[in-house]
Amino acid sequence: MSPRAYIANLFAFALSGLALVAALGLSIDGFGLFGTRLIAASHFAPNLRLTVSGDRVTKAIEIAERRDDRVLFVGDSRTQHGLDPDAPALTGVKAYNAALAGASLREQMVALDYALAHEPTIKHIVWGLSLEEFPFGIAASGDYADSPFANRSITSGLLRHLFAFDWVAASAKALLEAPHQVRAPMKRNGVAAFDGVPVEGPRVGARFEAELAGSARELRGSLPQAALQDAQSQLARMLAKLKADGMDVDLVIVPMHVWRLEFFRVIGTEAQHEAWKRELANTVATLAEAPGDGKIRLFDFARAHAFTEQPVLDPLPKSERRFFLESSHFYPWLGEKILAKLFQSEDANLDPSFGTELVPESIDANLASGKSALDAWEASHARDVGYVKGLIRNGERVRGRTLADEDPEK
Amino acid sequence: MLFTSPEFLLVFLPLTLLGFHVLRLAGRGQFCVPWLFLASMVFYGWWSPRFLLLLIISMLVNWGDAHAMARHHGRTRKAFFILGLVWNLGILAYFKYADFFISSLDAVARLDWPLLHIVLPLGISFFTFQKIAYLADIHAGYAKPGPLADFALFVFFFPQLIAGPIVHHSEVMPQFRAMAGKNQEKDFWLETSIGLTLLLIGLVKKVCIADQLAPYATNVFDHAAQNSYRIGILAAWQGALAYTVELYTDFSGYSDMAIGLARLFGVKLPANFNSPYKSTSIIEFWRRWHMTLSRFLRDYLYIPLGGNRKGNARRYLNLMVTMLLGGLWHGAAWTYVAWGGLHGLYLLVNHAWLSVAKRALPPLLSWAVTFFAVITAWVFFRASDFSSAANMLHGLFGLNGTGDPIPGAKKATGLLLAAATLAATAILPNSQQIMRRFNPVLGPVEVPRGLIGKLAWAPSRMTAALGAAAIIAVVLFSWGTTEFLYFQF
Repeated sequence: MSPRAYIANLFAFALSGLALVAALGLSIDGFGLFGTRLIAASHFAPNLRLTVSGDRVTKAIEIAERRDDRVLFVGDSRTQHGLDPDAPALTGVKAYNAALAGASLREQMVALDYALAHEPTIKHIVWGLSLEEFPFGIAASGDYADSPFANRSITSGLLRHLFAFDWVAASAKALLEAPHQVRAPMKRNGVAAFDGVPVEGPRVGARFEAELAGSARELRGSLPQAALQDAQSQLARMLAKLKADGMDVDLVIVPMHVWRLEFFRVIGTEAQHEAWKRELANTVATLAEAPGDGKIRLFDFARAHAFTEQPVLDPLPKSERRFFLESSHFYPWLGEKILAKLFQSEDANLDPSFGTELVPESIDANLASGKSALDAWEASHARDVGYVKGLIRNGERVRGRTLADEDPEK
Repeated sequence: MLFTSPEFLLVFLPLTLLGFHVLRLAGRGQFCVPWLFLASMVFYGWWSPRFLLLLIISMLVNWGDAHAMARHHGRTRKAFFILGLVWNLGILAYFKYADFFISSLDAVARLDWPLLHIVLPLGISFFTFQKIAYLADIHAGYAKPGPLADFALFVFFFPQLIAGPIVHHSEVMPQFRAMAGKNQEKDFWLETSIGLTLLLIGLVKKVCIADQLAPYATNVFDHAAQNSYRIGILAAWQGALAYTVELYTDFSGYSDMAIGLARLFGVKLPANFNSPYKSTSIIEFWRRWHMTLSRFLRDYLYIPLGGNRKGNARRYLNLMVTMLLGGLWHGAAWTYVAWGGLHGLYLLVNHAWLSVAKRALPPLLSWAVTFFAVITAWVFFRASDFSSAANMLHGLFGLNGTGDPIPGAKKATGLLLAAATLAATAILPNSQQIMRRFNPVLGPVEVPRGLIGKLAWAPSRMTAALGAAAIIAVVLFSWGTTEFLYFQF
């Protein structure tokens, strides 16, 4: 073959192959971004969103394409996983979950700005806050840099959905699974679902153990105070702007399992958590005098409570649903109770005792009662406390000792 | 601009090629060198216009210095040579080693001097060596300074500007000179086929192998750097093997791309790698790994130090000095010096063994010993400090047992991928062997043995289909591709 014919063949084959790949992506359209889907959405597994590493790219495109949302969720993976925009508590109000896994407060602000710029109909923001993600900057690498949040074009994001290996593999997987109707189809509202994760049995405890053992290595004491202060100031400025624009904002200190509360107490950051909550409450109180019609409220769900105290070492009664995947990620059915509280839904999920609105006048009493609740839990759960302390003290030695080996009498 | 980036592959390269070939077709071959120089400035300036100015000034100083040397003899000539050396090494020392020097002094003498946090100009280590070799050869009378345009392109030629191969002026300047006389496009399609194929091989190595293995290595080395994780034996081998393959496919992939890109403009570059993981001794490894650097260190450091001409003791000392400086060339950190020192030690042992035992070990055993030595040394090369290197080495030798569970580590997948790609690098023919029928590089190509060695590229429907598959694979895997590892050096 002549070199000239070789080059012609090379490009002809390559273009044909790429056209086939694009055809696969368009006909599957797993994430519903192109509107060219040939298979019904009900065939796509709910955890499809978790199978690729570019959720920020997908989410930014989704936000740009959406219309008429009234409520927006922002936050990190806890919010992304735990607050369902289709929750009954919202009583049909159209909502989108713009929370991003691993997003710091700064990145959450970028996502919020982006969403508000694309969807002027949004009037209510539910903002999930957690201290662990509060003081950090935006990761320079990863899918953020490739997403429209970082000013990359939507076209490049769409091309990525057609041609990046992760998405092509997800499309192929979806195609193979399509003959089986899935239990709960993937939602196109930003919420991430861990499908097939056990909600009962020894593997539940193993998840708690693995996650806290990891935290024990990553978090060894207080977070940097100057960075926290800086983040508080940025949040205050953002909230003032939102209020001036007439936006209602519910700041939600997201729930964590009592094991994690105990974990923070043992590593010595309980006081920092309290100071952080106090500062947030002061910020919200100060903003009451700021110009604008928006209402800003602060709720604290990160407290010991029957919901967050669900046993880990013992099985739950059959009638009871597990509220946590592990100590920091809650399931949407706990999220439903949060939304019921925020939106004052008159449904069975509303439990007035879960979550407290924090205001400066009562914050001392609230924090003190939260502390007492944890003290009480500690007093009646010596085995759990010992286990959490063991994870912190002997993180590496915990491996190999399964929860099943744990002797309740010790 | 990365070779793997869309702006390079879809805009810069086609435009540069178009201009180059239009000039040739129009009978204006004499403008090809200035055109490529201009394009190379755009290529470098895309990253940093500020450092482009530095490069231009440095290039002019070197060119002036070379001419000054050529006009003088004796002490004046030597003075100009020393001036050139001081200039080039001074720039390298300031940009690359100032903070290293300060932090080392701080550590030893507790001076508490603040670091300067100087940004390292891309490719500085590479083009500094090229210019030093040029000046040294003119000083020694082996070469005469040429026209400014040729010299400028020798310094700036974009395919090898950032990370080599480190070319010798005698290899490329005659080819640049010849461009002026070439107005015919006789071999255009063949040269383009060869260049494109080499470029594709390099892209596949970088995008489909190196970048895919990188997370497996990074995850383990990052956790090794945190004192709270003890790296277990499986994780350590995963990290070390993945990095071993990543580094090779990343850097040799870059070299293949550089060689292919140069070939698109009718320029042949020297080979930089020759299947180093097939080596059965450390001496052989250094003949196969980063060959143009080894050549530079041999010709401009080891031999001027006395080489092997002054007895065994001096030879070993020279070897050790060369390897230590070679280590330091790679990076301004003591871990790189340790890596160089370790390889210096390996070479001493290797030479001592040959002079005492007079024979090599059985091939498989010597391959395994060599490979283990190389992997162990890569740990120092990759680790952020000595304590994380120690953590990794403990893991490699099983001293940490199964270690701590590492979040995100997929040991089975990582190990399997690394082992499979390693086997491929140790068995399959390399890029210049695949392309050997068409003289892909300057100098001879080792003909591979055995059945697999019969694999050789020639234009055909089958190779076109394989090339197309490579293009598709590169497109699929190129999202989120990272910088080349050797850019940092």
